[in-house]
Amino acid sequence: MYGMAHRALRQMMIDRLGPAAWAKVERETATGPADLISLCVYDDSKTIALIAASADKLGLSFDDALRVFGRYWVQFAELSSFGPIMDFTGQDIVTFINNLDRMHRSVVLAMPDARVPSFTLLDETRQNLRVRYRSDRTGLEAFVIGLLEGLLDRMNEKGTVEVMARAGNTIDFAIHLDRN
Amino acid sequence: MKAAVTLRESQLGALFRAFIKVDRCFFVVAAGPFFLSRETAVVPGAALAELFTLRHDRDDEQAPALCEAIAAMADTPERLEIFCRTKNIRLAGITFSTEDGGFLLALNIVPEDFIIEGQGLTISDFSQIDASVPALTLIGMQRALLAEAREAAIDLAKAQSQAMDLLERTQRLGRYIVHDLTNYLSIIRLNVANLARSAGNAETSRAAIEAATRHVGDLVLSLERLTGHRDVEVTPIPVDQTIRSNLAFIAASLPADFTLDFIGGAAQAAVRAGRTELITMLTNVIVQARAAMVEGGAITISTYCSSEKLPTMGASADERWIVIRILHDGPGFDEDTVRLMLDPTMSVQHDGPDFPLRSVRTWARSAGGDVRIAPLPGVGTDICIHLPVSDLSEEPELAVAPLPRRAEPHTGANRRVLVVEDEIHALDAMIEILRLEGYAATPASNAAEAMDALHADQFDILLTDVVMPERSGVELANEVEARHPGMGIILMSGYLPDESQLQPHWHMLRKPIDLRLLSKTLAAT
Repeated sequence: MYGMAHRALRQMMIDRLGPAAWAKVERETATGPADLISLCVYDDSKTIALIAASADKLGLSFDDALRVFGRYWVQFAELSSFGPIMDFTGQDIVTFINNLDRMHRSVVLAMPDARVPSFTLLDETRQNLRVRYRSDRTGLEAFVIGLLEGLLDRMNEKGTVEVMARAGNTIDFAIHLDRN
Repeated sequence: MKAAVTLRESQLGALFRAFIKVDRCFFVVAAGPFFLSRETAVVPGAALAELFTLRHDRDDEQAPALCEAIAAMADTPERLEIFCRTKNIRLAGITFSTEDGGFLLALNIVPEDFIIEGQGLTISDFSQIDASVPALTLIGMQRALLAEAREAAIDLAKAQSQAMDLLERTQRLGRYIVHDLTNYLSIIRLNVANLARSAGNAETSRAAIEAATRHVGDLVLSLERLTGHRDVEVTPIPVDQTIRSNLAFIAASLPADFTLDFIGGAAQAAVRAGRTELITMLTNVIVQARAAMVEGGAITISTYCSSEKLPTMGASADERWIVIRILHDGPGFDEDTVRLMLDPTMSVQHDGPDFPLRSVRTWARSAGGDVRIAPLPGVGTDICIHLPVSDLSEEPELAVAPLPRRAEPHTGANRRVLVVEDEIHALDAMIEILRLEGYAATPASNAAEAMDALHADQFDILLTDVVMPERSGVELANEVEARHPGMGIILMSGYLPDESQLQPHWHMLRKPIDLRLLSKTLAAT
């Protein structure tokens, strides 16, 4: 994953448990400043190790930590210097999801080694969205649920996210919106 | 000739997100998705000339008429560029004439610097083939990286500053520890020798050894805390007692034209801080004060308890503080200097070493307190270190019995030795061991006492510590040699002093003292 994820995880740990907790995570995972460059692509094993160590400090299971981190990630990206790119991608949930792949394609121009996922809006009603997620990575389902929940937070929407179907590297998520 | 291609509006919109169709009178007939997806005035029936202009300057009277320009450009490859009259949006493309006498303006948004900076535009406003999207995304990423690089540079500067603070504290603490350790090791070694020779003094020597090892333990704890090797729970220390018992050490950093007074008003109040660190930090402040007082002067350390907290403190309102106040009568600093002294981003001052007061603040904050500096221009400077009051540990200080003064002549043949040492246990132990060796040993705890003893009596040898308050052992040795040229001089120190200050015929003993070497040196002097 790219270093921005590591930076987001660092900020989340500092926000929740303070700098000392993150310092311990860094020590346990042999992580240093060179592992925290936003647009550098790092081996997934580094990211997994960081999340596992953070989960331990947070007292969460790995999947719960992934979900919490996914939700935090959106908030972090919004508030970081990458915020304008988030705004450019979309300022409502439908537009954002529809534009995610175009944004990712642009990002890959600068980071050819990045393995970005694909999001497709399969179905849209006022109350429900169906989103197809494709990735050559596995095991990030909880992270994606957190991301979608984070998007709801960002768009001031209330709702829930659940998995509707899984097939190979594809997962379909249902977003149920609490709209009047 | 092939028939003209017919594009549906949806296809047109996919290619030209901001297309506009107008009739022969230049009223809008249809508009692309860029306009449809948001509330704009570009709606059917609107007059094009009231919406757009050909010039960026919307009030430009000389601007060509939009409608005439469009008619002239129609069906040519000439680029049309128009500006929204009410929003900071620019559109560009080419124009076609339509069969009904109107015009099709095939337009897209011109990527501008502002587009991803709060204009409310999104990727959807650009066609799928528009290279503006990756261009703008990459510009956004580049800006984000520059911002990150700036943050990294600031983080690096802070880390560098902290490292320099730590290095400075470590160096000062290291010197303090070496000085103390050598003294305590001397005490231990001399008392062990006493124990071996005189079973009757076992209890007093044991107490002295225990006190020495306890202090060594304190030093080790301080060192471990400083280096972060392990989390050490610091036991509370009584501030007044700690400062008072280390006043001589603090004063050792001041030349003779300074006075240092201590007024303890905190009674038994304690703080949770390392004993060594507290003394090191006070020494830092004194060193800073000395640097500011080129003419010498008076420095007063006082303590008191207060419930008033500094604005930077986030502690609960009912917390009590011990305030260690250092007041000196040197020239007061101006506000800028004070700000620089505490600014963590200022790593080095213009004409000298690092500002030690910044490390004092770092330390005070790590202990839950803070530092305030109040410049008193023309009068002096008032420095207050606030530390949270902590309950004093129940563990009592070990009472140390004085060393016995039993003389058992051995090899010294009653040669008269004047021993000068500011550490009382080391002095006692040294006197004891010399007397056991058969020397007539006289104690002095500083250079002034030594000079008094020299006025009152005669001595064969001066055995003096080097690092002492007020006057160093080297200064004393020079004066003694000038007045009593026949006396042997032996210096003792944990450090090797600057060789240029030493006379070649002086003897130098390294602390902790090796007793066999001491005996040999005394015999040879």
